[in-house]
Amino acid sequence: MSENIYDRLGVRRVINGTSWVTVLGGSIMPPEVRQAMMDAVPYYVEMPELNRKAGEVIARITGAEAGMVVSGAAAGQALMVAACMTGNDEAKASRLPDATGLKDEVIIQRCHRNRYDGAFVLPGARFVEIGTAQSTPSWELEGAITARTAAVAYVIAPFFRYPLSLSQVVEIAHARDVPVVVDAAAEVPPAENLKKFIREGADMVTFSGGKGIRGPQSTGILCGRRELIEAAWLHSLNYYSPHAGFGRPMKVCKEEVVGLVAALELFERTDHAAQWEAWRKQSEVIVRALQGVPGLRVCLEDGDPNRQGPQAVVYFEPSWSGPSGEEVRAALQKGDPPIYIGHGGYRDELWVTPVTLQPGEEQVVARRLKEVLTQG
Amino acid sequence: MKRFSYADWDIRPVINASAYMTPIGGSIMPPEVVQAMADASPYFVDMHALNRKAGEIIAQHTGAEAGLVTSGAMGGMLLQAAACMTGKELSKVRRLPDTTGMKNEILYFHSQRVTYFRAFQMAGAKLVPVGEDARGADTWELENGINDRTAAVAYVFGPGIRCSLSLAQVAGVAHGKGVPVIVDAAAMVPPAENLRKYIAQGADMVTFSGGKGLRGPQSTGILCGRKDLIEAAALNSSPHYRCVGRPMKVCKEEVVGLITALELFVRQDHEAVWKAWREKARYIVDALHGIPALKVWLDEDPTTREGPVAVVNAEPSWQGIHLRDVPEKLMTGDPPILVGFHSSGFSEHLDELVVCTANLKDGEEETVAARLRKVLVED
Repeated sequence: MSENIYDRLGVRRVINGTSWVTVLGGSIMPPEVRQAMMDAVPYYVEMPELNRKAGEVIARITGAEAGMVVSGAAAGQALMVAACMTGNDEAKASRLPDATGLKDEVIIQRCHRNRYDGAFVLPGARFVEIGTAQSTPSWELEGAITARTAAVAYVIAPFFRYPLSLSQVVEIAHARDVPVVVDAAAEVPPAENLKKFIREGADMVTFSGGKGIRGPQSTGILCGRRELIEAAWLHSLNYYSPHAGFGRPMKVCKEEVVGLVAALELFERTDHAAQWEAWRKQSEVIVRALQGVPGLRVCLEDGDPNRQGPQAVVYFEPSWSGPSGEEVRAALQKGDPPIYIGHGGYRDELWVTPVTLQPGEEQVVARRLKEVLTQG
Repeated sequence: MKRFSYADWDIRPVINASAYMTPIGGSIMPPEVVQAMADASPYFVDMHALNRKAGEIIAQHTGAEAGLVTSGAMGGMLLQAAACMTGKELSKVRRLPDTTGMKNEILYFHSQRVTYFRAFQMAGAKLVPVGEDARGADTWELENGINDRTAAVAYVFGPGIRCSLSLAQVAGVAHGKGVPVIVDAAAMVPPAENLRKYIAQGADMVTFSGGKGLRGPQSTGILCGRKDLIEAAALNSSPHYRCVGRPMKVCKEEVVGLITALELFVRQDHEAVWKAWREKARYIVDALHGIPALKVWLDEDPTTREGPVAVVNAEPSWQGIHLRDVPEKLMTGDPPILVGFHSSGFSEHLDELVVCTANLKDGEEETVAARLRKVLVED
C-alpha cells in the first residue's frame, strides 16, 4: 500500500478542528474499532440476532431496558416516533408512512426546532409546536397532549435552551401516558450522558455513534423501554416479513454493528479525565501561539457544556482591523492541508476544538492560524 | 489489541447456500475492499468531495451521466422519488415529505408492485397503479395514467417480477410526455452487463444494491442516472441536513468500499467465477445423486437464478421429509446452513429446494452436500 486511497481518488485529507461534524466524516475510529470490524467481515450471521446481542451491550451501558444499533441519530429519531405511533402492531407498522388511524402528533418545543428534526416526522407524523423560541410554559405542554399525541420530542444540543427540564416534561407526559423521546445526537462525551437521560425518565434516547463515541459514522444508538425498542425493531429488522419496514432504507451492516459496540466498550474503558487533559494541552498550544495579537482576545474555554472539549476561542475586539472570521476560515480551508475550524456560538468568535485534532495537528493549526490572522 | 470473534457474542456464523440475503449480511466483502476501507478510515475528508469523486467512478462503470453512493437500494429508491419531485430547488427539498405544490405521483405497474415502494412514500410520493392486471399493462393505460402531477414512472427488475411492457417501451412513452423513469434493479448484478443495460434502455435513474453481487458494504447501494436528477438526489441526502435522506447515512469507509468493490467487480473474470460456482453446484448434484424419487439437477439460467444452483424436486412417489421442512433442519444444525426453498403454491412436486453456490467459500459445498444428504435420507 504505497499511495493513500484519497490521493488516488484525488480527494484531499483535511485537518478537522470543528468537532465531529458529518460533512467531514464524523470521527476517526480508533484502531481497535477498525480491527473489530475487519474481524467481523468474513462470515454470514443472522443480522437480527447480531443486533439483539449488540442491544444487550447498549442496554447495559445506557442503563436502558433495551437497545439497538441504527444508521445514525436521524434514523434513531425516525424510528423512535415510528415505534411510538405503531407500538408492536405489525399491521400498523406495515402501513407507515401512511398514518391513517394512528396517533400522529409529535409535540416539540419551538426552542427545540432545529435543522435535523425532520426525521421525527418522517414516519408520517406531524409536529405540534408549543412555546416560543425562548420559553415554554408547562401548561402549554399539558394542554397540547391529546388522544392523537404519539410522543413528546425533546432535543438536547449545544447552545439550546431548556425552559422545561427533561424531568418536568417526563412528569407531565407520563401522567398522560405519552412517551418522551430524546434526540441527544452530539451529547457524548461526557460519558455520564449515556445513562443520564434514561435515568431522568426518557422512554427512548438516540445518540450518534460516529461522533464522540467514535464508532462508524453511519451508526447511532437507540435505547429505551423494551416494548418500544421491540417496536422500532419491527420497523427495521423485520427481515423475514414480506414487508420491507419503514426503517429498511436506513440500513446497518454487520461490520457497523460490531464496530459500534467495540467503540462503545472502548469508550467505557477510556480514562476520560486523562483524555480531557490531553485535549487541554493541545488547545493550550493554540492559545499560546495567538497570545499578544492586538485586537484579539484568545482564551481557553474549558467546561462550557456548549463547547465540545476544552477549546481555544478567538474573540475579535472592536479594535480588530485584520481579516474577518469568514476570511480567516476561507484562507485556512484553501491552504494545504485544508484546515476547518469552528465559528460562532456566542458571538462571531472563532474556535478550534481539539477533540477531532490528531496528535500534532494542533501545531499546524496554531501556526497557520497565526499566519492568516497576522498577515492581513 | 482485543480482537473480535462472533463466538464471544454466542453467535454462530451461517453457511450461505442461498442468494445474497439481507437477513444474514448480504455478501462478504473481498479482502481488497476491506483493505481500502481500512485505508480510508484514519482521515477526515470533505464528504461532498468524496461523493462527487465516487459519482464519477459510478458514472464511468454504468454509462450514466452521474452517480451517487446510497445507504442501499431502498435508500436509492427514496432518493429517486425525492429527486423527481424536488429537482434542484432547495425550497422544495426542505419541504419533503410535504409535497404541496410539487408533482408527487409515481406511476407503477400493478404487476410490479413491491414492498420497497414504501421508500417512495417515505419521500412523500403517492403511488398510482397503472393497470389492474397481475401480468402487466397496455401502452394506452400508461399513456392515460400520466398527467401533470406525475413525478416519475417506476419500473422494477427482480426475480419473478414481470411486466408486459419493456423498459424501453415504458421509457418511450414516459419521455414522450416529459416524465422520467426510475428503475429498481437491487439484485440484478451479476451479470455485470446489467450495470449499463437499464441506463442504455432509457432509464433516467437506476438503483442497485451494493452489498449483494457487487460485494461492497451491505449498507450501501448505487444510484446512477441523469446528471440533473443525481444532483437533486444528492441535495436530498446526507451530509446535507433538512432533507428526507438524512437518516440514510453513508460513511466515508462505505463510499470508498463500494467504489473499490465496483472497480474490482468490473475487472473480474466473470466467466471463471461462473465456472467455479458451476463446479460447486455440480459437486452437490453429484453428491445427492441416486436418492430414489428425488430429482436433483443443475440450473444456471441467468434470468431466474443467482448463479449456478443445485435444484431438488420431490417426485410423486417421494415418501421422505417434506422439502419445505428441510431449510429449518439445516438452519438449526451445526453449522447453520441457509438454503432456498420455493413453493409453487400449487403442487408439492413443483416445490423446489435451491442450493445457491455464489456465496459458498471453497470447501463449504462438501459440508452442504453431506448435511443435505443426511437430512434428505435420514429424516
